[in-house]
Amino acid sequence: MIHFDGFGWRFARSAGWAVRGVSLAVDAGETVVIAGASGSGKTTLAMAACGLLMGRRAGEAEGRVVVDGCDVAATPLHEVAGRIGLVQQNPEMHFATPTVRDELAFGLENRCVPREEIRRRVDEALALLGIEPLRGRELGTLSGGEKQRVAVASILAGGPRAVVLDEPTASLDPRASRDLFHALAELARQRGLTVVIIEHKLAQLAALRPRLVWLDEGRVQADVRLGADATALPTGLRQALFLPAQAPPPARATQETALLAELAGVTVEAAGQAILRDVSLQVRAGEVVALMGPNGGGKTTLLHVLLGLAERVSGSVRVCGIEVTGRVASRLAPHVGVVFQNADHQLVAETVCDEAVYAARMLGRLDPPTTAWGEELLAVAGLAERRDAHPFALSWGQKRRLNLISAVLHQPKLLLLDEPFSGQDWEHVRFLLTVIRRMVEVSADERGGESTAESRGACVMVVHDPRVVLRVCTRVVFVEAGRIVVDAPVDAAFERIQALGHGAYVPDDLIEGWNRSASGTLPADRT
Amino acid sequence: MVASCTINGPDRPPRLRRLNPALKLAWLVWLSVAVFCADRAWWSWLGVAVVIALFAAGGVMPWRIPGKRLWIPLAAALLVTQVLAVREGGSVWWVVTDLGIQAGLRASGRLLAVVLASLLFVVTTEPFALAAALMKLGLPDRWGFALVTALRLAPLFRVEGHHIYRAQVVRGVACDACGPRRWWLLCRHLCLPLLVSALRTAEALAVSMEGRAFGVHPRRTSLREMRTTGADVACLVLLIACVAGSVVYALIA
Repeated sequence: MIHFDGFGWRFARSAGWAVRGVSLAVDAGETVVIAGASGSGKTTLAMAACGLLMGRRAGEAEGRVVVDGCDVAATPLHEVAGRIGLVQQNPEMHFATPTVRDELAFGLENRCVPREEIRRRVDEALALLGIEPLRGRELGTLSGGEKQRVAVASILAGGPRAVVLDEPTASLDPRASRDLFHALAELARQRGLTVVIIEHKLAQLAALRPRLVWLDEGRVQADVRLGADATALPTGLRQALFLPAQAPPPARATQETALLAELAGVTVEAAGQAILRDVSLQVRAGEVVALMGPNGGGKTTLLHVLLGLAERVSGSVRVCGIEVTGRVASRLAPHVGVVFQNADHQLVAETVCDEAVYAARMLGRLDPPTTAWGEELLAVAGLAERRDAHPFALSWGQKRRLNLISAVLHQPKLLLLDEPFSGQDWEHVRFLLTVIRRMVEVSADERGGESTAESRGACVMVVHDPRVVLRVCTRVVFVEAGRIVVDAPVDAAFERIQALGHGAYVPDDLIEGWNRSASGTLPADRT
Repeated sequence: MVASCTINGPDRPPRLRRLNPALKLAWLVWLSVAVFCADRAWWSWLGVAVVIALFAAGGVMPWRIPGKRLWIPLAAALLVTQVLAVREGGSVWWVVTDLGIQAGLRASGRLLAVVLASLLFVVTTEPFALAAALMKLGLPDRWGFALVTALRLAPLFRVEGHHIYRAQVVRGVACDACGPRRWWLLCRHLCLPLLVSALRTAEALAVSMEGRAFGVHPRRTSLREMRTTGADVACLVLLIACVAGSVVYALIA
């Protein structure tokens, strides 16, 4: 169905090849996952398969790509699109119309399909994805998972034989991600649809046993069936699939450690609805608290409450000894380090180096040791070579690392991170974890010396990956429908989350099985 | 602001919503031109009364019309300014003259008529239906979808701007402080991220639309059926009569 024949692509004004020497055949009806580190060429392959590179972007190509018997370089885009469709990461950017029905009809209308035929195919696509009840809904009223299903259905309505999804679950919670993957697997099985998924969340895909193509530096490094014996997988792939067994950091928080954040009876309302209801929470120095739960449950609002950004808040909120009321967000800046969901939103400075030290400079904390620490972090994050580049010129993964560096250099007591690991490969997750642990366990004043109960920091982060939680967190707070339904140490929390029927949020049995079988074989992974 | 008002909701017959959007646009254009061409104040206030009556017929009482905190003070300010500024005509009281009162009523009436009619148009017209109606009348598809996507993306960018503002504030950028410096900080720290976001969205949307054969054929079919109803015909006839009447009145007057 899809054939890459010695394919290579180098973007204009780029020194290296994004991908090179890729020879790959995807059969009709097959489900293939393409994975690899950030910058390994996954999205380039997806764009090439969908005809969005050769002849349409400046760059140099070698080899060829054939989809359903036609050479994409020599075929008009709309004809390629009739054979293979692309679903992008953010469905908001995919939609051209305001309602579900119009969105599904859009491609067919453009191809001048008669009205009755459009109606039939729209109904069919809705049924395929199980979203008939959404037919008349406005797109703005849908949840993230529903939007992604509509995006897939809008492509399928056009009747392609293959579909490529570029990180379709980047903004979805584990349950919505799992449901989408299962829906795609069903489509492949029942309709013979060829499905290519570019994804970092391999643990969730493992249960489907798909074929997995592992890219590294633009080349295919492994082509295996996911679900095989873990010890037969390449090291980089194994690291991406699971984290080796490691005891969670000791729970250092006690009643004696400093109270860094406290919410008492907090309720937040918007448009007449309660987003948070009577939430009480304490965070003490030395704690790394994972905020988990479904999309729309109130996790991000909880972070905003801690930052003084939420409106219509009742109850008491204290952060680092400051009563958080009204518009005091910039007054909290010296005490908190924040990473928001979207990496672009926080970028301010003209160069990577200036961006890293921006908050420290603004807050009058830019001294030589801080500058030296910043340089060290940039080097470890792989950003030293790009220190003079504009922050917007970085890749997504690089921006996320820069966000975190910038958030910690002014030595805040409390780190508040909103999905800092989304779209990150394992190498980058490891860097982020190292920085978080260092901030929490060793305070700035004590760096290089012994930390004390009073000097340690704390971190509250929205996170979906239970493997990350196992590795770095001391406690899990599960938020659902605006309420905290679980607040317990990690192991106990996972048991209770499982008991509540949220199995998608606990470590996967298969991965854990691999984890156990392969523990001790990955010395490079022991940080 | 507008979203807070619903007219002809599910519990009421959607008469105004069902009217052809292009016809409603034509009515809006005529009303706007007519109130500005009319030299008598009562024409403007007649327009205001008709629009308020249409709101009421749709179940929205005058005090529930959206944006009243903006348009009532604005109209009042226009009225007062004109009354105090126009010195011609016979004196009524202090510096107030009869021509000043007429000028004030005319200016405020024009403002209210245009603003309220526009609000009525917005709350009873779905953007995509308007674009579809205009495309059916010959507007090129590219322009029609430029209108649709602009209207669809505007609230998204508003939310995006809000997110960027929050992200900057918590980094210590004092956008939430008072004073003129706040506006300089807002411009500097909001514009670039918002521009980058807009460009990225536009590129992704172009890929999405092109990938679904947008622009391949000069015309496109439509799932939406646009039937001309009796109400459409009646409104069209009434509009023609109003336009003709306006022209005749202008010639005679």
